[in-house]
Amino acid sequence: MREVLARAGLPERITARRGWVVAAIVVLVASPYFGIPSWSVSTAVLAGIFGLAALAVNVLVGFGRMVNLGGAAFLGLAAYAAVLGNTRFAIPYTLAAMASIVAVALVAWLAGGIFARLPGFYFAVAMLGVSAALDGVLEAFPGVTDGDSGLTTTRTLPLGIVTVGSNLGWYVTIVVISIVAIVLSQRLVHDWRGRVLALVREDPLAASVHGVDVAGVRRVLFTVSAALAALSGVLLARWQGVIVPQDAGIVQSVQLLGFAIVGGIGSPAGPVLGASLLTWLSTATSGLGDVELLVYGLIFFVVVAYSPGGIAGALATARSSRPGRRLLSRPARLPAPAVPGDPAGAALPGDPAAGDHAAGGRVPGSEMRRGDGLRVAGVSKAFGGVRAVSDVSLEAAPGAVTALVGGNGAGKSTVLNVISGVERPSGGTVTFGGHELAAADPIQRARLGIVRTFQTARVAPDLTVEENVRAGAEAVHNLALLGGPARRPGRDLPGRCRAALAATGLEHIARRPMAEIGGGQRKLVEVARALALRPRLLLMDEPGAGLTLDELSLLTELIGGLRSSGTAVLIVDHNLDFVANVADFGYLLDLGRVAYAGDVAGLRRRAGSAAGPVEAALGPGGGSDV
Amino acid sequence: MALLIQTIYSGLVNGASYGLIGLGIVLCYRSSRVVNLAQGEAYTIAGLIAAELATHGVPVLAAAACGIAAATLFGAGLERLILRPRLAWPSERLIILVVAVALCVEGVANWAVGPNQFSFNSPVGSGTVIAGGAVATYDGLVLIVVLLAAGSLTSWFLHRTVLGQGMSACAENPAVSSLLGINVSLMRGIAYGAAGFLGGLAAILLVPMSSVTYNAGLSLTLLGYVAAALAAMRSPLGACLAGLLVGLAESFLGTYVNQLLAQPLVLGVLIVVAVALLGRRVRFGGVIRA
Repeated sequence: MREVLARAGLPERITARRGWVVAAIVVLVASPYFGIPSWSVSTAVLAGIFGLAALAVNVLVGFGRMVNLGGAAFLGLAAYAAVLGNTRFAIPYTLAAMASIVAVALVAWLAGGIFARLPGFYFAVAMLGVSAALDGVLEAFPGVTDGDSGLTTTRTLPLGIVTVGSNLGWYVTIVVISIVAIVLSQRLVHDWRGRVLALVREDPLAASVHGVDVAGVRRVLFTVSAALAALSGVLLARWQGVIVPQDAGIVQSVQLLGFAIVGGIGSPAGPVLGASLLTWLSTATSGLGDVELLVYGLIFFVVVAYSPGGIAGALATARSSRPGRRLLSRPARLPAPAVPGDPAGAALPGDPAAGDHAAGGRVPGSEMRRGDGLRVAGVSKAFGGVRAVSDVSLEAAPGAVTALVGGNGAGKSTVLNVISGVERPSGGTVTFGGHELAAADPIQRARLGIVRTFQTARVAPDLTVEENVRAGAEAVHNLALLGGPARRPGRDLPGRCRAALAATGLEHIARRPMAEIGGGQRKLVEVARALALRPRLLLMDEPGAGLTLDELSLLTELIGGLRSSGTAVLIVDHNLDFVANVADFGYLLDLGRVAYAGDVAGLRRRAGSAAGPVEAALGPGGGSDV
Repeated sequence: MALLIQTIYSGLVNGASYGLIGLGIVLCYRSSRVVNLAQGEAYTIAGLIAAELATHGVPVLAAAACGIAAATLFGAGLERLILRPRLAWPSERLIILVVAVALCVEGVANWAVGPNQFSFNSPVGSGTVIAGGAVATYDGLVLIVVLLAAGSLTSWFLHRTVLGQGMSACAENPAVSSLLGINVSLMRGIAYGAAGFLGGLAAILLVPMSSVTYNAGLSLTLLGYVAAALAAMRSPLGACLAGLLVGLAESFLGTYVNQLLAQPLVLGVLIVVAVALLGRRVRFGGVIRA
């Protein structure tokens, strides 16, 4: 039973709750007939239309953490386009509306190429600006748009064979559309898509290192959101019978964000709930003077400041604080941590057969002759006037563990960043398996089978341990979230992830949320995430730091397993004992230059003699130019 | 010729208010890394309070002082009561928080004074200067001078005084700054108070020439933000000059192209400029550096 549910992507609890959810939906849908003051069918229609726009905002803010302060722009644009097409060019409204939605989605796709790359508040304010500018443009051409008074249209909705005119007809239509929209928007975060999105949202850098086209994912979200807002707009115009410039303006935009946040950002139906509550309040308070904005602003503020999960979040917290729920979500038995070589770890990189199998089924472009490892030649990198590394050359062969040691500021991490594509070198070349990497972005590197871990683990705190491991492997298989060259995750992927978890001794905490996991284990989660990918080249940034002795010896064994499977491993560390244990070859970096290259014994002598690595890195009178 | 000078003058006057708001946004950002989208509300608060008091017979100078005091208090209170307990939040949530504050202020203003326009007599006096056929008012000229003085003073304060350098250090690394003995909270409080004061000052000088409504804040914030963004959210004097530039662009477009289209065009062009400038620096869909 559990297996079936897991395959359908459903935890057991959800099926048990499904009956309640259906009941709740029935009650909510029937609510306009309960005699709640001001909650009439026509208010519910308006709330439903705004709910669609709030869902659109939620797609960006909740799924992508892109604060959308211009949600009304696409709503207004589509509404004006559809009404103009209908009244000026006599195109049937249904056709005009569909054409506008497609056109708006296209505009969003094109604009998304730039907008989706904007960081944090730049995106937020740029969208606010778009909304304000569109409002202004619509007012500036009264000849076309009738200026402030807006474009009028009939209050019916032609749907092919039937024309919806009555309030009840509208209500049924909006309820159906809302349910479809909620279900479709949930498909965006279903199963592997949700895990990859969580990684993009929580740690874009880690996501891109695992091969996710972060900007591309955001662009898809931007487009989907715009299309949903456009749908809301073409409905709003017909329901109101008029569309005014302010419908695209900044106050409307901020209100839409408020709907989504009050309802519960990121939750499936929260935004629709929020839109319903606030639309109802605005109707209920309409007789009390100019208080609509005040009531609205206060609720928005209180939710943002004190209950960030919104209504849906508050309900979820109430449920989870019931005793026992937490315990139920954990597996009952605690299996002993498995080590490589155990039957449980059969599909591990430690097994040469598994490695070869992986090479056969890998992403295209990763076919590589054995012996063609990583070659770094004459790489330099300067930050401003400071040379972090100069003329560094090193090699990491497949089936060997190479260490890169040096003191703080010696340039170890910079070299690693250059190899993994986080930084671009100022000079020199990096090749892997004969592929030139200087121009390749992290995504292409991930396709070549290059994986890295970070000094402090970069993981998605919202996900569980297991989900984090899966997200990395799924990311590399799903280079686009929708359409495009997306590949479904391999059938063996869940098994590989389980094996990686077993190998890193994390099986017993696989279902725990990342937020409950300590620093050393977080680093092991990153290692598991890398193992599940079966890398050709694994770059590890201080993998041993913060690990307990037991974890350290486990890590040593894992690295040994990777070596025998033919993976090239490059370790950056300053713990000489650990390095001497695992590495075959070593390089000593000193002030950004290679001071030693050779076997580990020599490295240890060189780094340990006269000066420790720190002094070695600083050198006589060193550090003055930093 | 007269039209040209008049266009330049009115552009500079409007631009000065954008500059003052932009300067406030830069101050807040430099002390806390929060983009204060409620900055324009200081303008609304000062303008509405001064107008209300003046219509009830309070002398204009006293009304103006009350307005500025309220705006300063709003700025400092925003920092002390709302932002300070939540500075550990991710920046996306903080931006939503300040937007919610802005909406609350607009809600209170709308409830208190309704949707009408308000104005009051200039505290500077109603004299005019006629030059080359164009008419400039005292308060307009004072506004421009105040902007340049405020920009220079802030620039000097931030770069040349120990207190000011401490303020910049707060934003770079609050934990280390506080270990080094800098009173981080006090710095932020001062910065937000000063930002509120600047917004109030803009209102006292600009509202007598035009008017203020309950919802003036957000759109003014947007233009002020454009000025601040053009100055890379860093340079105080840069934000002031960028504000003047935005005002001039708007004024020229309004006079010679289309009055209604001026502001949308300015916003549109500047968004494109900001996007193009940034687009090149930004990689990995939003992460600039590892």
